[in-house]
Order: sequence, then structure tokens, then C-alpha cells
Amino acid sequence: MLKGQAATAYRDYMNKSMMMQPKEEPAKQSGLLSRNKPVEEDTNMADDNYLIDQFKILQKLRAGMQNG
Amino acid sequence: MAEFIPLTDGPIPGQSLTTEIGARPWQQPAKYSTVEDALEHYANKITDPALNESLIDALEMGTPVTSIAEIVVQSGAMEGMHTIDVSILLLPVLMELIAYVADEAEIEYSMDGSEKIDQDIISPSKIALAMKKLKDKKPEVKEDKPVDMAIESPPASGLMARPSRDMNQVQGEI
Repeated sequence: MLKGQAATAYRDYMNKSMMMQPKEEPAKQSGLLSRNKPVEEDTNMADDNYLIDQFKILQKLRAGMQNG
Repeated sequence: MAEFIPLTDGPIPGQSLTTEIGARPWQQPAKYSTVEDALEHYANKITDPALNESLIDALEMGTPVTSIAEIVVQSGAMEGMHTIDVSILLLPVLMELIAYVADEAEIEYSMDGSEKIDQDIISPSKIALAMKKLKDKKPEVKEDKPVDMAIESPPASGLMARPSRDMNQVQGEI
């Protein structure tokens, strides 16, 4: 039986989403003289931060709606 | 302050052992084994305008988002949709999703029950929306079909009255 776990979990996610560092995009090395072969990005759905990402997307949507 | 819990409100000790193991949905393997699948299931239901009317009504009546999210995931776990640990993981995202739906519907809601919502105060935007709906609603025009009414004339009776058809036949026979 759940009794108040939602509020605690929500607070925890809020703190986590605020503390998270934004993802750093790797610098592309694709010049004319670059000898690096292009590697396809790994599109693995089972990301550890899947729920936090969804949480942040929804927060952004809500904020956008409230700001018009 | 300690919450008063009546002693007779719980299950009888050993009640869970009265059915065979595996007879309950939560004793079976969960339908959605991953968080992604379970979230997709709920997201489809919560964002569907045909299904979320009762959810919006509950929010409007002052039910906190936390309670609604808890009830939703708890019933999902009881129906064997997912496990309890998945439901705990889903809670914050579901709360955010419910809040998003409420924002979209332009209603006031309470996240954790701390803010009390006065149901008697109706926002001007809501009144305007209701008025627009009323204006857009076209009145139904019922077509009156002519009803065939058989007019029954009272049987002529009297000395000067015309003889009825039956009477003519009778006279012919005579």
C-alpha cells in the first residue's frame, strides 16, 4: 500500500534533475584531413537516466505552457 | 501527529494464504517488465482526452496529484501490469504527466494537498470556455412528420341519415 511515497519520490527527482549536469556533446572531428572513421551513435533505449529525461521533458513542456 | 488507523480496517492475518499461489494477477509475471513500457502504457491513457475526463474532474475537486498517481500505479500493480518497484520508479514522471494534463486543461490543482482549492471559485477562462461551447452548440431541429390520423366519423344514426354501406348490402340481399 502506497502512503505518501509519491511526494518523497517527486522531491527526490526534482533535486536530481536540478543537480544533473547537462550532457556534453562530443566534438566532431570531420575535417578534410581527418583520418577518423565516422562511428554510428549508439541508440540504446535502456538508458539509466531515461526517467529523469522524461521528467525533465515534461517539466520543460509545463514551463513552456505556463509562460505562454 | 500520529494518524489514527482503525484496527479492524486491515486484512485478516493469513488472508493472503486463502487462495492458491499464482491465482492473483500480481503473483503472475508482470505484463510490462520495463519502466519504458509501463510509462508508455500510462502516458497513452492519461493523455487521451476521451479517457482523462474523470482524472481532470478529480483534480478539480481538490484531489492531490500525489494521491492520484499513487492510486494509478497501485491499481496497475494489483492488475499485474507491472511490479511494485516499477510503480515506485514511475511515480514522479506520472505526477509530472498528470500536472501537464491539468495545465493543458487550465484547471487549478494541488500537487501534494498542501494548497486547498476553493471549488466555488470558477476562473474567468473556464466561464469563457463554457460560453463558447454553448454558442457553438447548434440547437437540434426536430422534423415534424405528418401523422396519419384516421378520422373516425361517428356512425350516422337518425331517420334522415344516409344509409351505411352495410345497410345497402343488406337491402340488396332483400
